[in-house]
Amino acid sequence: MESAENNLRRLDKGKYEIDVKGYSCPYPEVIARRSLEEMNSGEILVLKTDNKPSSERVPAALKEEGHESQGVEQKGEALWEIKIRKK
Amino acid sequence: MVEDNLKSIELDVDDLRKFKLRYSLGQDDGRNSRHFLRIKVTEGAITSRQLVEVARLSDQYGRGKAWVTDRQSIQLHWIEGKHATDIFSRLEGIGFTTDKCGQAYPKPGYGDLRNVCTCPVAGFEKGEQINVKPLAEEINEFFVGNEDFLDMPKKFKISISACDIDCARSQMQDLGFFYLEKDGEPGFGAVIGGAMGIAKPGAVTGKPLNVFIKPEDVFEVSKKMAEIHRDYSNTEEVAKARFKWLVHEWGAEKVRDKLEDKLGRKLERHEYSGPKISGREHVGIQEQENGKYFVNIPLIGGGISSEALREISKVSEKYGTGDIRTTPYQNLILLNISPDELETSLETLKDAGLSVKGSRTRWESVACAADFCANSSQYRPKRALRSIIDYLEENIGDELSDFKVNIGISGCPRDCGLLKASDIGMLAVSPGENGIDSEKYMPHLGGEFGEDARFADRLPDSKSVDELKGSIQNLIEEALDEGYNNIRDLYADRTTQELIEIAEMGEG
Repeated sequence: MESAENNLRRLDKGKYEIDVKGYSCPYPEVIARRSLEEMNSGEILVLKTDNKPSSERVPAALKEEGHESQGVEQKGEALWEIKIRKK
Repeated sequence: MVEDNLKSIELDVDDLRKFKLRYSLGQDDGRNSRHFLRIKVTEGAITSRQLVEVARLSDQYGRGKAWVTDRQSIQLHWIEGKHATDIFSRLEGIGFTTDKCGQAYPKPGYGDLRNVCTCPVAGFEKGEQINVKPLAEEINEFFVGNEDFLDMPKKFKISISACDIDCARSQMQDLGFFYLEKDGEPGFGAVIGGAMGIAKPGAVTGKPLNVFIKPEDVFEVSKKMAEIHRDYSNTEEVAKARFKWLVHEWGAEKVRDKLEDKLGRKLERHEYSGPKISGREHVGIQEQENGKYFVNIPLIGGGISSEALREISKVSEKYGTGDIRTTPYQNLILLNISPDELETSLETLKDAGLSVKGSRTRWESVACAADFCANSSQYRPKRALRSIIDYLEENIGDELSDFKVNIGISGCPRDCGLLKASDIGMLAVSPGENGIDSEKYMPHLGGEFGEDARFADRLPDSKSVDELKGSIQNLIEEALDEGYNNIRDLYADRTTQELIEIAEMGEG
């Protein structure tokens, strides 16, 4: 499974996407955290994962650090998009 | 910080790429634990120094607790994702990895080879014909981090033992090697497609491959069998993605033919149904081939504090050689204890709260970690098991010492506690409102591995732990009164209805 886990891609002003398909826990959370470190406050991160538990756990873990979940969307049988706003 | 005119940012993830193939965290969903860390203790072998580092990790990240699993791993809970890279670095520093357990992918895929269950006293047991540790080591070293085998339809489980009790339980593995002699030549038989859980076609014991496998062929057979699973097991439906489904659909003969195609030669035919004896632990204190002793510390459910891990490490260093083993019965073994220092080592362990006394049942019973699991977090099988064993030892006394009866307790039908293959199995059905004794379980009787392998029969009525203590006591005492030293002799001698009446397990 290919992914671009090092490529924090800018979708739009203030919105970034990173693809972590193929990564099991805890990597989606770790990569999300590293992505947010590179972003400005208030900007949105979209995390694409095929790991279902990550779709629940990543928002919860990042929320504890003050970031805001903007929702999780299932895009396919094995694809979720997690949106997080950086605190 | 990101500037407005940049299109994308390149993250530094080299460390994660390095770890990705060998480390992960599993999902917990109970006791406020989000993740568990399953430290893959390959061949069950851990040194005293490695154990001390595990104790440190437990203190720092796992609330000072650890559990030995029935695949000889050591599991820590309450692990946070933000600590993952530090934890993985430290595990790497002591030479351990994890497997890719508990990921709950919705489709088949990402299956890896799990810890190879290995006889923990391999290389030391008296009368041993084959030391399986190097064989298991070769398999583990090949598969760990091997990208060609990290995306199988589902996990793949192998065991190997050459002891005469097949302690590594070959019949519940995707591929299980057990000791066999052919015309006086030591080697292995193999069974395939065994598994205890609910994935299709349900719980099933491994089918005999009916070939004689020489020790030097174990690695190739393992590799080729994993290839068969990778290349031919179902990739459309998760419920059919385990190897057992392929074995069910093809039959063992066709799998054998495919194996021989891949090996490029025929294996020697040898008929068998499976190991004669299986599913027994190396209990208590036993003399090794080299005149020293191993000491098996029963943990009941595998739970141990970091403090106790450190005490065990000290005893091993002081009175042994620093060599310790995890067992498939959730226990820990200290190897190479000098005869002169055996008594002192036992006293030291006792002072640390680690008794090496008790009934055989204490060593041979297992319970799952239901309390951390989404399916069953309201249950406490390990506590139930301890409560039952303590009760039986107190109320039956010395007669229970060498009596053979094992108990397996599971929180859900996935049956990680092996209830179906236990003399007395218990499946959780309702939580206790007044402590562990009120927790309710559905009793099962008569499961076993070996030449008479069968799954336990479910009885009609669920009972509380408190009621089950009395019922189990009744069964054991009836067996003892008959002069039996194994509950299976009683089972062979009575109908199910008679057993229910003895145990007073009828509708209450």
